[in-house]
Amino acid sequence: MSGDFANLLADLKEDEVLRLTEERIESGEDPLKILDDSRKGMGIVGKRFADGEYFLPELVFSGELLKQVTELVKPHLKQAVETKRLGTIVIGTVAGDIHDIGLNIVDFMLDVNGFKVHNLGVDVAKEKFVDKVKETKAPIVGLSGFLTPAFDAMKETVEALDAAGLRKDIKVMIGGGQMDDEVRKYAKADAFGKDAMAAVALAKDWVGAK
Amino acid sequence: MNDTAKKWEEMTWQEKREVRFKRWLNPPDVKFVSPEAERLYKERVTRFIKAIKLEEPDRVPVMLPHGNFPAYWGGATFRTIMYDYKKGHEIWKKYMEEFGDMDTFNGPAFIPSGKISEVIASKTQKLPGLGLPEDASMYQFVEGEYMKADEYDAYMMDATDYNIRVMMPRTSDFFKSFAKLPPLRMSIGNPWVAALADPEIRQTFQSLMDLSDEYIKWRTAGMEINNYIRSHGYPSLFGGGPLLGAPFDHFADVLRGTHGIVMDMYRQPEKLHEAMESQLKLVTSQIKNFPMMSSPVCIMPLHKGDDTFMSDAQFEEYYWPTLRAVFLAMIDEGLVPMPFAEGKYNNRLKQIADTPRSGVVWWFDQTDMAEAKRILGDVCCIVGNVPTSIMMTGNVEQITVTCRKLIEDCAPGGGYILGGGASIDKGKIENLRAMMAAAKEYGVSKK
Repeated sequence: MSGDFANLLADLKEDEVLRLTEERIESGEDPLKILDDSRKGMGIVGKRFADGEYFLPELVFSGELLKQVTELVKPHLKQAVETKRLGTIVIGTVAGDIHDIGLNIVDFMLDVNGFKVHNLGVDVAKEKFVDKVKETKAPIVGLSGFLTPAFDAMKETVEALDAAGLRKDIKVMIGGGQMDDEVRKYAKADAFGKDAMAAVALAKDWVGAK
Repeated sequence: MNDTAKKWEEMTWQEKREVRFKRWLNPPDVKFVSPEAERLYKERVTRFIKAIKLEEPDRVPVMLPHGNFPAYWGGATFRTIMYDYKKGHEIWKKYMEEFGDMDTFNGPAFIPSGKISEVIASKTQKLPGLGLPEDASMYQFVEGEYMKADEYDAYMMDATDYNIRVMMPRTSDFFKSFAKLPPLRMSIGNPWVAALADPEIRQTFQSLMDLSDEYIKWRTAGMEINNYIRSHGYPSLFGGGPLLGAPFDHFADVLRGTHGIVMDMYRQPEKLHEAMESQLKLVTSQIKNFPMMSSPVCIMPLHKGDDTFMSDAQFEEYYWPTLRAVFLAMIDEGLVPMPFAEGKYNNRLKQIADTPRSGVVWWFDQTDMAEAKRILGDVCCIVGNVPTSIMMTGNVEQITVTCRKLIEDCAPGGGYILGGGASIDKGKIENLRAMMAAAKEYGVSKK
């Protein structure tokens, strides 16, 4: 049954997933088990995305399904869910750029793949990245940007992290619209990721997770 | 509309296009400053026309990606030029003189008037100093679910009414009073007088009239600079045509946003299809008998059909059929659709090949150009694509190597325009010069 649930979610069957969630809650099943199955379903979605079978619409819609399942389950949880996290990541769209579609998908995919994500939002000043890294001791920073002005903003953010003495302890990845490996070199970041699953793969690699 | 004996509606699309090309080559509204300027103008336009028709021009034509670059080169910013139209023009003129040979050049047409933008602030668009940092070099769009999931029927029943009474008040406080207007399809005669008796509606119209004075200043200045540029021999490539795009993007970009459109793809796909067909009808009627412009080439920015946004199957189902129909309607009027495929279109090349030969010009951003040439070479002219990253951060050698490779891959046989990916606003003038030089060095026809 739990295998079915994960597969139904991965196949984006909204009605069935919601009906089954309600049935499982009514039958008194441990709500944590439902969340666990949802995570498995999201794992399948992520794999299909990485394999080129799924694209952005499937990611966004599966996120919507997960949100609905979580909302149904939440009132029945006896204690807050403590999940073991693979690591902490600070992400944000750099100063001067207000695009967040890609940013939020990266946030979501990192989250369902076990990372604790601090999403600083859009048009984030370099100082804010520095402060958040200091506060959270996050070993990874993800810089998002859609437009060409982001080239310089990324470079300046990496320089600010360096000036604050944090650069040697962290890995920086960049991604978004006009970004590529040339921009990675220019900004002196450690890696460029072409999409959300690339961000997950890089993060897992950097924290030594499989 | 044309100077031949044959009636417009009796012409083939190629004949209609020839009429428009001829108008582009011999602009009746331009007084050239010298015979030399006129000669260069015609030489440059001919270069583009040949490329569009999949013929081999004397040299590969170049579309330099200098978006708002002249502003920064001249020590100004996007924001200063939003307010000081004259300064913009002085800089653009100086830039044009200093740069020298270019195949096409335009005034700062995409920089809106600051005074107007301030008053009609929209939630969907932010500008330098108006929602963006003062030194921002371009405007940016803000996506949202401005149209609700259950409003497709209202939109389809009467798009004009929906836009004016629902969308405008929702996306701009300036137009809030329009929500109180009576349904426009009922408003014949007196209801207009009655509507304007409302003090808020009255104020909105009064403000619009006041702003129109500023608009006339902005537009006159814009026409002056563009006539100045053309009279010196530099043709416009995009000359006042209809700004169209993919019907899918019409709903996905502004009206429903990424999240909203995805919900519709899964929860109400038939409704979305119906709405796109309905939108197509509106667009087609707008294109029909479109007047003569200074150039028949129409830039069409495309967004959510790229390789990363959707699968081949989704592209085939949602994106391509109505976009193709828009292309066909434009081609049928003798217009030249030039879609700008932002992002990557590597997976799409085979799908988009299904259009009349030489009808469309595809401008690619990050698509593999050698592949594009291989698959589309016999179907349409292609434009692109020195990477924006190299254009901005690279050096002259990198630009030269990149351009040479692009020309070698794409120019043989004709049907190629050397262009950038996206435009640059800041960067180095020597890189733009290197791009132009590469076309002259490697792009001259051996015939």
